[in-house]
Amino acid sequence: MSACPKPVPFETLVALSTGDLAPEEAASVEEHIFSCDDCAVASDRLARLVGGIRELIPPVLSHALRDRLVAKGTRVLHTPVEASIPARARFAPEVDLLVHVLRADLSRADRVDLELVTPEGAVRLRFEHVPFDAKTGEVLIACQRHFEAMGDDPIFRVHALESGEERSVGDYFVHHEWR
Amino acid sequence: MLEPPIMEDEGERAICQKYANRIRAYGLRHLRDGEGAQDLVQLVLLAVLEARRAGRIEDPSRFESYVFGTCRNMAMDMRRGELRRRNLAERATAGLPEGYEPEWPQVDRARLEHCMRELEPRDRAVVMATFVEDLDTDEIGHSMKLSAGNVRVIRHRALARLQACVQGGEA
Repeated sequence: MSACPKPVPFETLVALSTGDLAPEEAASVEEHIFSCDDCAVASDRLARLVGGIRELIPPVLSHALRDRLVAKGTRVLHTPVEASIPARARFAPEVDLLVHVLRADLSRADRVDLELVTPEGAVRLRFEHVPFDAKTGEVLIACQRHFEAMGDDPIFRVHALESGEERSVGDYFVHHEWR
Repeated sequence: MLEPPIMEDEGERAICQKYANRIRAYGLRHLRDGEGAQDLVQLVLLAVLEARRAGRIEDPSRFESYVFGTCRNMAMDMRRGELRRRNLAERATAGLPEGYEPEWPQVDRARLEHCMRELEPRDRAVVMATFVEDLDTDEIGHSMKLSAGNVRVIRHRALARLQACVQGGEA
């Protein structure tokens, strides 16, 4: 097998997978992939990665994605959570996914960020531009069963960006029961 | 009605092995549905093998183009709902060479989740918005106050890092 004389660049394969190529260019790249072993391997590797990402349930859900999961048969337990008021959520056997509904006034928010904070106060992970519903004032946190292995319950710290100013919305506590 | 294979030779198995992943990747891009993509693989492979058996491929030197054209047309039919694909795909499986089983190795989910956590927050947000929320480049750019060009650069660099990470390298 001879090496491809003109391999499709990775960014072109990505643009193909996201529909960002013009139709003529997309057709030409796709035809090349069918005839080129090297590019077919690269395309397949990317397709598997993208397929894996599409299967992920993100830590913060949009309402539309939550609705799609429910429509596909995912059994969801919703737990309303107000800032600074501890809530409890039990991962009963008949539940596939916990969704913590963090509530706040987000009517003026242009953007919402979320931090997962350890009980000791260290930021473990930060998520920027998370989905939120300004009208209902909700941020949906998805909690999966295998998160049990992560240890202590994190604190969900929400920030809103309003007219260029960051505002601390609040800390949210959920005690998880895993059985 | 689909006929059983006239001959099952190494050549047919080699064709299946060579093109199954290419067809599936095409299906994932155009049908956005893993099950649909797998059905497409079965349908295209059987159509191509039947054409080959019947000597209907006029220019064997352009075999790849024939496979690609068949794949494109069948995916289009599936999108339009003109193929009652599930029944056909099941019957197509019976017409493929014996011993040929498509394999779809999956990305290790735990590893992928780890690699996602290693990304910069903005990069992770772009990747999730693209492939999980199914937002297009302009929508992401608008919501994150980035140009479409910036979104594309962030996305392909993030995917390159993710790919290296899931394959065992560093994110």
